Amino acid sequence: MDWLTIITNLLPLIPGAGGSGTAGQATALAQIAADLIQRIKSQEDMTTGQILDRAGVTLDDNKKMLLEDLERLQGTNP
Amino acid sequence: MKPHRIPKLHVLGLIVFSLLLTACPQDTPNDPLRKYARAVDNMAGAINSMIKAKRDLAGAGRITPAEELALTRALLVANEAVTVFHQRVKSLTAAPDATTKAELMTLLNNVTTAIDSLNNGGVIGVTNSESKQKLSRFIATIKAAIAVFNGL
Repeated sequence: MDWLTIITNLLPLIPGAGGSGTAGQATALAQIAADLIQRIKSQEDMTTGQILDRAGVTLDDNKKMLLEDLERLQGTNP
Repeated sequence: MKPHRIPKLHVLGLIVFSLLLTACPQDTPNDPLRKYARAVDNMAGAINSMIKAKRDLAGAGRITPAEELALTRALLVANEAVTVFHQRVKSLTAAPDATTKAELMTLLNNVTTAIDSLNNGGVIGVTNSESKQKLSRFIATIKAAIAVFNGL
């Protein structure tokens, strides 16, 4: 896994770690990026099965979130 | 005397740097499925992050409802493509042979196509340049997860 590539991509989203911006919105995106880095890092302490199980749960969650968003948005933007 | 307060963003930066100072994750050489598992988890996590970022940008008025709708539709397709790849990887019980590798590459090509569509049909269409740039970071993360298979 190209860990450095991933870090390089995400660090600019974190103002205190080399990115820019100070607004609340920047803080939210910074937290999202930091959570993703932590998630990738946490694989170190997980078995392959646990990693696959977590991926499956996340993919299910993603689908639910996206369907919720689709329903919300299609109501205002068919 | 007024106490000094460390800005929240700086605390977040310090947390990230502390993560970087620890050892980077390593693949287990005797577990042939581990790199597949990690790549799938990274793709799932990056899509999850992108959904949250999209919601955050939309809530702040930095992307329009039409732009969010295009992103949402493209993210659904990408998430489905990764789900199919995940299901196939999860069904493996041993190192994939040449035939299985070819099958996995076909499924991965579907993921790549979906991510390209997400980029071309969703991210590139965002008019706010700062929002576009930030969303592009998550696309790059997913592409980095896919790139691990280039050597297969």
